[in-house]
Amino acid sequence: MENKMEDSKIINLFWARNQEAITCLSKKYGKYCDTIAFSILHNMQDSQECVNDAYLNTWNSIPPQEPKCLKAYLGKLTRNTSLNYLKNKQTQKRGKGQIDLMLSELEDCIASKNDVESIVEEHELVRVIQLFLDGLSLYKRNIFISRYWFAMSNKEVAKKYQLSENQVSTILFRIRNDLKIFLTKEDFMV
Amino acid sequence: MNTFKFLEILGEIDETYIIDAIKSHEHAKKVHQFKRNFVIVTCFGLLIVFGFIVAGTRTKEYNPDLPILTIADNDADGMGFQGYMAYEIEELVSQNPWNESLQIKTLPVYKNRATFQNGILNGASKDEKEAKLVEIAELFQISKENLVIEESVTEESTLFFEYDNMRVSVGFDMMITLSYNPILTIPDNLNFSFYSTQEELLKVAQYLKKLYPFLFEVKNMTVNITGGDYDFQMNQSFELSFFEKNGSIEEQILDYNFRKIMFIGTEKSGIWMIRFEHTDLSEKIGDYPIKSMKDAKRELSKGKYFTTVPYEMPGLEYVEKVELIYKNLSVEEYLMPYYRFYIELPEEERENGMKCFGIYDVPAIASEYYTIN
Repeated sequence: MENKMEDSKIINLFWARNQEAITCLSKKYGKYCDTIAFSILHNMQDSQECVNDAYLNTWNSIPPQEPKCLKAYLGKLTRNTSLNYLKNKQTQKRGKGQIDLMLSELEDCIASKNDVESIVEEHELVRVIQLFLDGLSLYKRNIFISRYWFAMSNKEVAKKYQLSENQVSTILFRIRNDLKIFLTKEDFMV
Repeated sequence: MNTFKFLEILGEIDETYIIDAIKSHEHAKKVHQFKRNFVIVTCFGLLIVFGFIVAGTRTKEYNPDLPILTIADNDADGMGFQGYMAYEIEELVSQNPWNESLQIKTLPVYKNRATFQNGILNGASKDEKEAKLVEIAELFQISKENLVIEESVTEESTLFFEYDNMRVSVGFDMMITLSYNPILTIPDNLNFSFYSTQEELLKVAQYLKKLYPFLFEVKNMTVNITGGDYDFQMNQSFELSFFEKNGSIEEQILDYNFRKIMFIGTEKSGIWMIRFEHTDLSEKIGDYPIKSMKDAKRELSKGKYFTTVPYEMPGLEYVEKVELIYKNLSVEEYLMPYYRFYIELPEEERENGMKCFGIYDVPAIASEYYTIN
C-alpha cells in the first residue's frame, strides 16, 4: 500500500540525509514530474531518466535549500532537467510533444537579433518577465504559466480551466501580443 | 534571444507564480469534480424517472440491491506511470490463479478501510496496531514488560518495536514489516538479492520454508514469483512472496491479492525484510457480476480505462496479456476487481529490441454497477 507524507516530513528526511526521502518524493510527486518531463520530451524513457536526475538534483540541493513549496521546487528541477536534456540531445522530435508547438507560438513575440548572453542580461530578463506577469490578471497569468512553464497542451489547459481550445488559443495569442509589446518597450526586442 | 532560451529563462521566475498556477489546477479539479458529481446525480435522477426504458437494456441478472459504485480517476500525485520493460511479454511472470478460461460470475467488492485521501489517513486505530505488535512480540517470546512500542517519525501512522537486530512495524493498513539490520544471512550457495533469477528464488523459497516452518505448516502456501521486468541498466528483477492457495477460485483470487507474505533480499545476498499483508476485508459491499472479457476489450478500445501511461491505448492488436487483479491502493475507495491489460507501446521500443508494456485497467464488474468520477 502506498503512503503519502507531508512535504515538511519529506524535507526533514532530506536534511537528515535519509534515502527514504527519494522514495517518499517519488511516491507523492512521481506522476506530476513524469507529466512535466513527458510534455517536454514526449518520450517515456527519456522522461524517466530526467525525472530520476531531478530527484538526484533535489537530493544534492536539499540541504541547504529549504523550499517553501516542494511541488513547485521539484517541478522546476524537472522542467530545467528536461529542457537541458533536450538541448544536449540536439534531436528534438519534430512534430511531436508540446515543445515544438510552444517554440513556434513564441517565435513572433520573442525572436530578435540580439542574443541574451550575459548572466546580467538573463537576470534582467527574468525581472522583466515577472513585471509582465504581474500586469496580467491572475487568471491569464495562470493560463500562460500552464502553457509555457508546465508545457501543458491547449487541450489540457482548456480542460483544467473549463474553456474551449479556441478560447485558450485566443487568450494565449493576446497574451503573446502583449508580451511582444512589453519586451519591445523594455528593449529586449529589436 | 531565441525562443528556446526564453523558455529556459522562464524557468527562473519566482516560485510564487508557479504555486499560484498549481493552486489553480487543484481548485479547477475540485470544481470540475463537483460539477461532474452534480451532472451524474442529475442524470441518475432522470434514469430513475425513465426507469422502465433503462430496465429494458440491463442484463438479465441485474441486482437492484447492489449499490452503484463511484470510481474516482485518481490521476495527479500518483506513483508515476506503470510501464514494464521486457524483451517479450512472457518474461513478465506471476502465479495469479486467474486465467481467461475461467467462468467467474461474481466477485466481491469491499470498502477500503485503509485510505489516504485529501490529506486524511484512515485506517487501523492505535489500539489495533498495538494489539498486533503485542501478538507478534509473543511469537518471539518477548514479554510485555520488555516490550517498548514507539511511534515512527518517518512513516505516518506506524508503530514499531525493536528486538535484537529486528524492527517490527505495523502501519495504518495493518501491514506487518520485519526488517533486519544487519541483514539475516543465508547459506552461501543461495543468492537472494535484487537481481536473483527465478531459479535462484525458487531455491531460496525452499530454504525459507524450512527456516520458518510455522509460517507454512498449516496452510497451503504457494510460492509466488512475480516481476521479470528490466530497469534502465538492463537488470532483470523478480520478487518472492507466498500466498494461500486454498478453496474456491474466488477465495484464491482474494488470497493472491490481499494476503501475502513477501520476502525482500538486498544488494548483497540476505534477508532484509519480511512483509505480512492481510488487508482488512471486513466491510463487504456485495458480490458483483463480472463482465466478460469481450465486453472489457470493447471498453478498452473505446477509451474507458484507467491508466497512468501518457499515451492513448494504441489498439487492441497491441494487447499482449490480461490479468484479473484487485487494486489495493490507499487512494482507492473500493477494493474491486479490474481486468489489467498489458499493452505494447510501439513508440517505446528500443534499438536493442527491449519493449515497454503499459498498464491499462478496466473495471471487471458489470458496467451498470458503477460510474466514473
